[in-house]
Amino acid sequence: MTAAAETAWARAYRPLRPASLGVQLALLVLTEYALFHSYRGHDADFRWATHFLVGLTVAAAINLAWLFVKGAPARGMLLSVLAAHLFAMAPDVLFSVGVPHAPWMNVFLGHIWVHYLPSGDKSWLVIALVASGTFASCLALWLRARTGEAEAGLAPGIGIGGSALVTAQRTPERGALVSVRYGPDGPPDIVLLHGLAASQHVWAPAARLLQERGFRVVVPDLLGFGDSRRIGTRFLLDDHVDALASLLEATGAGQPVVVGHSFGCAVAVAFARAHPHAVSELVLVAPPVFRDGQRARERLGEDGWLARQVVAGSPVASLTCGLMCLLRPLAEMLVTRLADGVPREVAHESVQHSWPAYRDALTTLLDSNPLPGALKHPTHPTTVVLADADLRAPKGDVLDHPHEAVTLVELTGDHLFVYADAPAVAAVIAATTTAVEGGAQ
Amino acid sequence: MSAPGSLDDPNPADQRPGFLTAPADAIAVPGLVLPGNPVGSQPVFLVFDRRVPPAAEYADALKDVPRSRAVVIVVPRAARHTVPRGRLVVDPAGRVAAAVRIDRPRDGGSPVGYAAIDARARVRYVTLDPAYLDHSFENGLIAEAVR
Repeated sequence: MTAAAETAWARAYRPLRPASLGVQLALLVLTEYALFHSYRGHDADFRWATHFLVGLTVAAAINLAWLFVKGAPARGMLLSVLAAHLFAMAPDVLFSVGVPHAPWMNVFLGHIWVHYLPSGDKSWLVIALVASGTFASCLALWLRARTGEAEAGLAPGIGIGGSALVTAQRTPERGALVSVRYGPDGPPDIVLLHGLAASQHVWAPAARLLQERGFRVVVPDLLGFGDSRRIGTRFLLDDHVDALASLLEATGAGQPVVVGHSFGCAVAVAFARAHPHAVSELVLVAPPVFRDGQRARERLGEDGWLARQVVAGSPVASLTCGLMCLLRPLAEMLVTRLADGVPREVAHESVQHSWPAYRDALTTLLDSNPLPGALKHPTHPTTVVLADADLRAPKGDVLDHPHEAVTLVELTGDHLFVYADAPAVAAVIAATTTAVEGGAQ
Repeated sequence: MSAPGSLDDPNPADQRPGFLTAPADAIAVPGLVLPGNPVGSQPVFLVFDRRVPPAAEYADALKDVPRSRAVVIVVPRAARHTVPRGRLVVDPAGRVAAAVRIDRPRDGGSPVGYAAIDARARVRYVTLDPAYLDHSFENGLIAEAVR
C-alpha cells in the first residue's frame, strides 16, 4: 500500500478505532444509567425509554445520512446517540426547573408527539432497531468495501456514495478501462471520448459510420462512467489521462485522432498535453468553453436541479446522487421513460456513473478547465465542432479563444447533436482523420 | 421498567404529560358541579382519590401548591375524616370526574389523580396519577402554572 493510501485509510478508519468507540460507549452507558435513575426517581421511567429510543433512531438516521453524504462514518457516532437523547428530553429538564410542556416543545424531536405513537414504546423499539440495524449493516458493508480497496493498495474510496458505498472500487490497471472497438484490430485511428453523465453509447451511431468508412475506432467508458464506473477511487483530470494512456498502450502504439464530446474534450486536451506524441490531431465536439467562472456555473447549472446543487457544492447533491445510485434500477427506468427524444440506450447510460466521477468532472470544468488554454495555445491541430443551438457550449464563448491552428465547423442542433446528427459529426471526424492520414503519407 | 398498575391510565401517554391545554381548547366546568367552591373566581386544584389520604401525606403532597389556589379533594364514598387543607367533596356518582373528563383507570373504577382549573373555570390540566402523594413538586408546578 502506498503512503498516501495508508494515510487516507487511517483517516477513514479513525471514527471506528476501538479505543474511541470504547470511550464513547462507556460515556453513553454511564450517562444513560444516570438519566434512567433520574427519570425513575420521578416515577417516569417509560418517558426515559421513549426519548432514548427516539434519540437512537435519529442518531442512526443522521449517521446513515452522513455515511451517504460523506462516504465515510462520522466521528463520535455513539456520542451522537447521547446528544440526540439529551436534545429529545430537553423539555423534561425545563419541566424540572418549573416550565410545563407546551406545543412548541415538539421541536425537540417531537417531544410531546412521540408519546402518542400507536403502541408507544413498542413501536419506537421496532423503529429504533430497524434504523440502527440499517446503519450498522451499511457501515459493515462500507468497511468491507474499503478494506478490499486497502488490500488492493488503493486509497479508500472515501466520498463514494450509492452502490459504490458498499462496493469496492478497482484500480485502473493496464487496459482495464472498459472500451468498445469498431473496425479491424490494430492501433486505433480514432478515439472517441464521451461527456458528462454519458458513456460510449453516445458515440455508437457515429462510430458505426466511421467503421463503415474503414477506420479503426476505440470508444472507452471514461473512468467512473458506464461500465468503468467501478474503476478508480479518484477522478481528477490526470487520473482520466492515466487511465486512457493505459488503455491506448494496451491497444498498440499509434497516433490516433482524439475526439471528445463535451467533458470528453477536456480529457482529450489534457491527454494530448500529457502525451503529445500519442495524438495526431484533436477534434473537440461541443467543447464546454465559457467566458468566465460565473458563466460556467450558469451554463452547467442548466443541466438540471442536480447539476445546480453540485455546482453550488451542496451536500444535498451528494445525498441525492448516493440514493439514486443505490436505487439505480429505478433511476434507469425513470430516466428512460422521462427523457424525451433521447434514444433509450443513451438515456439509460446517463445514470451509469459514480457520484465522485460526476462531481469531479463538473468541478474540473468549473475550476481547472483546460479548454480555454488549449484553444488559445493549441498543442495539436484542432478542429472545433459546434452546434448552432447548443447553449452549453455557446459559439460566442468558444470564439473568445481564436487561434489560427483551430478550425471551426458549425452544424445545426443542440448539445446532443453528437448522436442526433451522427452522420454530420462522423463526416467531420472522417474528413479530419483522412487529412491526417493523407498528411502522414 | 415498572409495569402499569390497575390505577394507571390505559394510555400511558395521557398520564402526567406535563402539557397544559391551551385556554381556547380547554373545557369549562359548570359551577354547579362543585357548589360552594370558588370555581370561576379563583384557580382550583382538584384532587381525585378513592379515600381520604392520611393527613400528613396529603399535606406534604400539597406543600408546593400556592396558597392562592383553592384545593378540593373528591372521593366516591362518605368519610368522617377531615382534610388538613381545602374542602372535601363526596361524589358517588362521579359527576365531578365526568365534568373535568378525567380518564378512567385500567380497573375501570374511580380515578386517582388531579385536575387544575384556572380562574375562568377552564380545565387546563387533568391526569391520573396514583402516586400523586409522592409528586409534590409536580403538583406544585402544575398548580402554579394554571392561574
